[in-house]
Amino acid sequence: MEKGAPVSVADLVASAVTRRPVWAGIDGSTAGRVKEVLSLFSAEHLVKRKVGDLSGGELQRVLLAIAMTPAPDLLLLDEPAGGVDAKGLALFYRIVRGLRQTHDISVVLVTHDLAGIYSYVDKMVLLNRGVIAEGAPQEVLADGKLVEVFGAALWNISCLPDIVKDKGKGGDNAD
Amino acid sequence: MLIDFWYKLVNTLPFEWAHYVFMKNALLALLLLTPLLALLGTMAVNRRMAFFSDALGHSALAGAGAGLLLGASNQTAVLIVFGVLWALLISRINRTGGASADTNISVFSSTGIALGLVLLSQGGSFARASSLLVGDVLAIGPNDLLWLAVALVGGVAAWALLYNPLLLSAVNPQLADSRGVKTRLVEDLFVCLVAVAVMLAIRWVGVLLINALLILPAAAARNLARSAPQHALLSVIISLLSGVLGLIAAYTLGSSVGAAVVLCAAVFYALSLLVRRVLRIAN
Repeated sequence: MEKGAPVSVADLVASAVTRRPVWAGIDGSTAGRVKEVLSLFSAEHLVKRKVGDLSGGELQRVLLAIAMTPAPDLLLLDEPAGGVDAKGLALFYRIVRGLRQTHDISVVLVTHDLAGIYSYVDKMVLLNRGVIAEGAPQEVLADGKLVEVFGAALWNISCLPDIVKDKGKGGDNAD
Repeated sequence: MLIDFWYKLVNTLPFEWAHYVFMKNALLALLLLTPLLALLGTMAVNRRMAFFSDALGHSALAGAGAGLLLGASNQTAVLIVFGVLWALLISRINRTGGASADTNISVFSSTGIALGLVLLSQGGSFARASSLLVGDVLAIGPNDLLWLAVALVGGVAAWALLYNPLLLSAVNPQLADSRGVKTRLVEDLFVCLVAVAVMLAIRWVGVLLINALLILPAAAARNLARSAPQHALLSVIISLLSGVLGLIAAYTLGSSVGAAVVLCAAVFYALSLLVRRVLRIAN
């Protein structure tokens, strides 16, 4: 969609929750629902903004709000880190982790942001045309094979203090 | 008959032009045509489809040529069927083809025009082609007006059903898919709806100007609107005003109605840019 398109966040969320066409206006009860949905994702202040004017992180939270209305059994997040600043990303990951506590939901997240995601996930699977490693994050990132396959960038991450500290300790079987 | 009611109503206007039947017909035609195009235009503008709808308009020449070849009695029906097929074909090629969208569209557009001109100029005269190129809203009659009224009602109803899924698909197709929106179907239906509206309007507005009626009011409204309802309302208002003012201007100056309407819409677009500038500075 065009960057400058006159579509507000309210319009976008409403289009997902009501059958009444958004071009005919959003009625009171739908507007209330929209605000409620957005507030669960720290996005209610964005309601009148144009979708094209949102930052990467803000758009992610709006899309997440829509994806969670109604809450699915499985949430698939494909490269949510793309175009999002570090602060926005941290907020996003915190929100997603929080969802697992409030809903009966499984979350599968595909990302290159290994350092950022490390502390939020139960299980990690590293893929490169096949499964290279899987298990608890500490196990996976401490695995020597990784540096061979993925190179120096991964070595940097695997040297982070909390990962080095956990190296050699068995991983949890958290799910 | 309903149309007599309309004639009586327009007669009450204190203008000289309001007393001619052809003007009354033309006025009603524009009031029926412009709002539907304005509404569809909002999504065409948002989805960057101006080139696509332009090509669709041009392909009407090929549709008219096909109608001539088939010896069809109902030209409009042939145009509509042809338009829908053409639009679906371009849509399909854009999804699966190797070249970029604008190249594909250009190929279809040029082929449509050339094919149409070849078929229509058979016998050595360009008269058939030129009347379709410019359109003639002053020649519309009550029967065609009835079809326009049906199209407006049907079109707005379809737009009410299609809009929400179409909007979500435009912003994030994967999210829409995951919610059960059949994104491909919805996009195809939109494209067909545009094709039908364009083909119904094209005999009156002309191939050269039809795209302007679809795009300009929505483009002008886009500069001023901050939400979808505002966009739709402003687009419809601008297109209605352009229609009425354009008709009166054409009568006064003795020039082509379609062209005058488009120029009015262009003036509105220029004004919208100005207003937006002024609002920006004020903020």
